[in-house]
Amino acid sequence: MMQSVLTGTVFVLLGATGILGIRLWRYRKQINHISEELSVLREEDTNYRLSSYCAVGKTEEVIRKTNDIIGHYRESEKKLKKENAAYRQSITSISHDIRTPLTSAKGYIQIMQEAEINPEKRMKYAAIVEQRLDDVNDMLNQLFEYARIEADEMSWETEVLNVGNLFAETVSMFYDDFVEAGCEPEVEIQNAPCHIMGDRHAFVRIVENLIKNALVHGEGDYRITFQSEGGYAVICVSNKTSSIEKKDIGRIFERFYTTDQSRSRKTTGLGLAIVRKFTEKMGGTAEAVLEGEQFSITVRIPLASE
Amino acid sequence: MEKSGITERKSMDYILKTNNLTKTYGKTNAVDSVSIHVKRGDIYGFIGKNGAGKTTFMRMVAGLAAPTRGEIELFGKRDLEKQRKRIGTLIENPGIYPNMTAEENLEVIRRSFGITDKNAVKDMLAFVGLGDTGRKKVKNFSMGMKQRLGIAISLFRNPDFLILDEPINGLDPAGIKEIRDLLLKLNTERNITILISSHILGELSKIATRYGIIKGGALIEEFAAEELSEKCRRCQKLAVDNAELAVTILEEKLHITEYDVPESGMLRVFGHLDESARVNRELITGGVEVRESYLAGQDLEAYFMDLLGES
Amino acid sequence: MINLLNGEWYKLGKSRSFLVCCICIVASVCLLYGMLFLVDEVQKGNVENGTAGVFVTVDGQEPLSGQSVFESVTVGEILQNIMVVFVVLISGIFNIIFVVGEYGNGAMKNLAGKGYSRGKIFAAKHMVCMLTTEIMVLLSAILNYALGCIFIGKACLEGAVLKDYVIYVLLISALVVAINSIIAVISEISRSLAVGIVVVVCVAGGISSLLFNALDLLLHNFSVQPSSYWLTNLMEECPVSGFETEIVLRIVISVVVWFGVSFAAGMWHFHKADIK
Repeated sequence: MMQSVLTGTVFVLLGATGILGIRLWRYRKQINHISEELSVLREEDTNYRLSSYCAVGKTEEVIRKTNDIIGHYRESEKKLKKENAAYRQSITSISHDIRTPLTSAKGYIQIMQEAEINPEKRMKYAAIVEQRLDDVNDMLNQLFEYARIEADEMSWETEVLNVGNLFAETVSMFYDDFVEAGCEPEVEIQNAPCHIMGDRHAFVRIVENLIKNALVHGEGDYRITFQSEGGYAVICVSNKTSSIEKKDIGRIFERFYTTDQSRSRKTTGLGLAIVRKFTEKMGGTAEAVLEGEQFSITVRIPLASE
Repeated sequence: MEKSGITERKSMDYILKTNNLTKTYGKTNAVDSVSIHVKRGDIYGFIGKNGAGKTTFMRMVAGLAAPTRGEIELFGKRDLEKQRKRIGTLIENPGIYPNMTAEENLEVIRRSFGITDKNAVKDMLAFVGLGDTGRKKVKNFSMGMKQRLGIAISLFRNPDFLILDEPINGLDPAGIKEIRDLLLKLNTERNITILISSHILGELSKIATRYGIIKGGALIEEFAAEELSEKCRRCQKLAVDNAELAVTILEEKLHITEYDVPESGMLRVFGHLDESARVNRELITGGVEVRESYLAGQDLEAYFMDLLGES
Repeated sequence: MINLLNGEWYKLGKSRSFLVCCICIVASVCLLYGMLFLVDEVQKGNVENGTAGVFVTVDGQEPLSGQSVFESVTVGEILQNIMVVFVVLISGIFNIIFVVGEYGNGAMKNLAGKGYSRGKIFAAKHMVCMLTTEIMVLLSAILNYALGCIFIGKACLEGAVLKDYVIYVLLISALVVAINSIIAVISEISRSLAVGIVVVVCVAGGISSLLFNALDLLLHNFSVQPSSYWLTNLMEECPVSGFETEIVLRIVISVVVWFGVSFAAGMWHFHKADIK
């Protein structure tokens, strides 16, 4: 009786040792395998991901999570490369954009320096030179502003803003520009007062940039509206356009992004990027929609809680 | 050598480099001393007639056949067994089990290689456009669908290098365009280098960045896509009896230096195409018999046919 | 390699030919017992001799009433018949279909040269073949035992009978697996369904035994008996009870040698072969 119990116990113990031994072996193999593959991943720029030698314990979960991290890392690397490339290209084109009006101004000045020039022409040319310098100034301002926003160096003062009034004020500043463009915009501003929490200057800039964008790129059918809806202040600026395609919509808020390949117009591609940045800082969203030939941007900012 | 942190990533010169790779069957060399160079990011077009040795070469690189002579270097290294984990291949017909569904076929691959991502199969099927095949067995697939499954299998382990042997064989034009778009996407978005063989030159010329021409098992030319457009330039072709004299006249009398002599008795003048009549006159008065003179712009097909056929 | 086996196992579960072969085994065992049952009924006089074309004779004479075939035969002996006649044939056929099929649809291309050494791939595939063979052997053994208990009755369940049965199953599995190893390797080397079928028919049909017996005669003068080390001969020789050391030793040696040689040959061939 005792003997069979003893034999039984011995067998059970042997069995248990065997099972544990195998498990240990599997763990070791798996870890060695993972370590080897990680060396490769560390040294090479590769799409490869970790694989499993044998499923044991939670090692497969570890592998999965590591692969996720690697995936994210490569994604951000790619994004970074793309952004750097876009950034470098922008620097080149911005310097070109700045150089052009300066060269033009210089040209006019050289003409003006000639003695035989009649005073009327001289005045005209002087005005042109001033205009060119203003253009350069504008561009530089936009660039510097964006750089400061990125570095979070803007001064930001949150206060209660009466959206309707501020909006109307800003829109009216562009009256002359619309007259010049020969197309009066349809403007709708709701009467009921509503407020948001944000920086005054930033809000003005948002509206400014939206309207500027419409003026520069649009071809008519301007509609500018403001109303409060579902707890949000909703601003919408839309215009007719033929220079934007569906594929551009997703990228329109990207910094330096512009569909003007010829760079014939003076855009830095930063206007809408600034709109989004400011909007997001006030807790809202900016969204672009293209329906046929009608392009519109809608900005939603949460209303200040009463 | 253990280093903490991420070591500086190596960028090897060539993804694939072979050195006098040879395969002998009996008395013939199916592949004869082929040394090709495929750079990272290339789409390398392998061109040759049927039976020229393209498939045999690719099988050697893929590890399916052992070379008789010569070396292969993958990713700059010689330990091929390990390096081949990073390549995906589709050689001749795809290796699939006809009595299983597409999902089951990929599941076999997933398990065989220990890929832990449970959604990998579904994602890959969606990626190649086979996401809705459900329980349909592969033997009931159309040719295009089978090819797509083959490509799915070759992409399954996130390769850095794809070896595709006639992947558009048997596809309809829509299918061909799909594959072409897919390959371009893989090349630009995932930085996958591709070695692709085909005898449909038009297709290949749309995406290839480098070409390798195989004839009779040997690599007769290797050049970049830009060089190809160079070679196919518009020119004035002349068939003359005395090429040397003609060349002298071109240089001395006409001051033309842009020409070449592709074969004896043939002359190609690349510039001064509007003066072709004058060229004719000068050559004839100079004592050269001009049998033929015409303006030609070689298209790719013609150029390759020349290389593969008559030469 | 564990991953390779995982993949193969999954494939097996989806394989229709494996299912069909297993069903064949089950069917043949049941058929055999059906036959025996009929013979038994004839012997007991419940059924006319000659029903369904089955004539029963005992030592050349009509059976006496009261005798039961189930009393004169043990469950081990029935298994012996099953093994020799059915199992070798069916498992052999499955293995050929499996091995040759892998090359036919080109699935081998996905595994070869992708990070696994040729050796590992071959070992994994070979292991799977042997595993399926073993599954079929065990399937028939267990089914046979169950049916035996039903028809033969109490005699089956005795401790000694069971112990003998288990030992017999172990020995015969080893033999059948070794035979299938040879069949699998020949299919792998020839990659032809035709060659494989010829080999299986030879082996299962007893032609290989005859060949080895002929070899005996040839080498008679050297007092060497090759047939005593050939697997099919050993299958027939293998006792169902009272296992003597001598025969057990011969079986073990033969199995190890034949399996080892075939495995090595297959490994060597696969290592250097081109894969279509």
